[in-house]
Amino acid sequence: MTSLAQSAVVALGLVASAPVLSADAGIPARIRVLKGSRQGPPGVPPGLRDLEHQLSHTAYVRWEEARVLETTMEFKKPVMVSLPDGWQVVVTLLESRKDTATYEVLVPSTRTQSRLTIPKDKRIVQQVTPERGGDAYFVTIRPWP
Amino acid sequence: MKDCATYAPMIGARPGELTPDEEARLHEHLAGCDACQGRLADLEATGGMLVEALSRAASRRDFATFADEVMARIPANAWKPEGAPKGVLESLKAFFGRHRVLAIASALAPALAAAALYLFIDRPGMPAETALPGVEVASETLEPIVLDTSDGPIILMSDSDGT
Repeated sequence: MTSLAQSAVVALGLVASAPVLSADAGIPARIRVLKGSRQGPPGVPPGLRDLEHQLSHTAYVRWEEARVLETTMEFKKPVMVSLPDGWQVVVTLLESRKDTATYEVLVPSTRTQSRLTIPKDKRIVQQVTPERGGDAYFVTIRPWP
Repeated sequence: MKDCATYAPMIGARPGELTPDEEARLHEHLAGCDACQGRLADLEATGGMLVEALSRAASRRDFATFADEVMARIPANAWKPEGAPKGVLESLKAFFGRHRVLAIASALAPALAAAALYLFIDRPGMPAETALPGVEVASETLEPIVLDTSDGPIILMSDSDGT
């Protein structure tokens, strides 16, 4: 009974600690800034084909890839992403488990904060600027691209 | 005699129930009909006896102490001068003293309602309650809308005025 209890404690410790990777490790990520427009000829550039289905759910018909940032993100170290119109988005890798990564996305201009947990095979697209003249900017993060 | 069937029911009529014409015809009939005169006499006698009996019964009762007796039946603490508190607190205290469970439930209900509001209402600056796990969005200026797709969620931010 004692050994069973000890095993349970050890197993619990492993379960609790193993999935969360070390803060030193960091994980590769591709951060893309997209511009969506309601007007203009519909179109998604080749670089955004993997997002086409997802983007088709919005009212924006014309998409452009405004910026791409390939980086290995370290835990709790913010990465500044500048948008073409001067806005800043701060992306921070908070934690990672076996198949998911959790990011914090801050947009100081709109005082917006997101906490997004992204599975390996999924992408989250987030609008980061309010719509102006039918255009808006979006950010998408893909861990382990 | 056949007129008696018409006039007999009118004999006991109260003032105003008969038209002047009916009254005139009834008087005319009574003047010539002994049977109906007898009925009228019986009715008057019965009415007189009833009034007399009621008067006698009433006079046997002394109403001089009536008001005092009524006031004596009212509990002393049930009456307050005008403008004074109506004793609501005392009544509630007594009521909840008898119904403790109800008292506790009454006290907890507002607290639970406030807690529910705190937990379930979207508050500016607090994480928005989204139906999707792993997506929390909070904004002080924009309204998040989360669309779920098979490839992953897409988060749209609209101005608070809906634009």
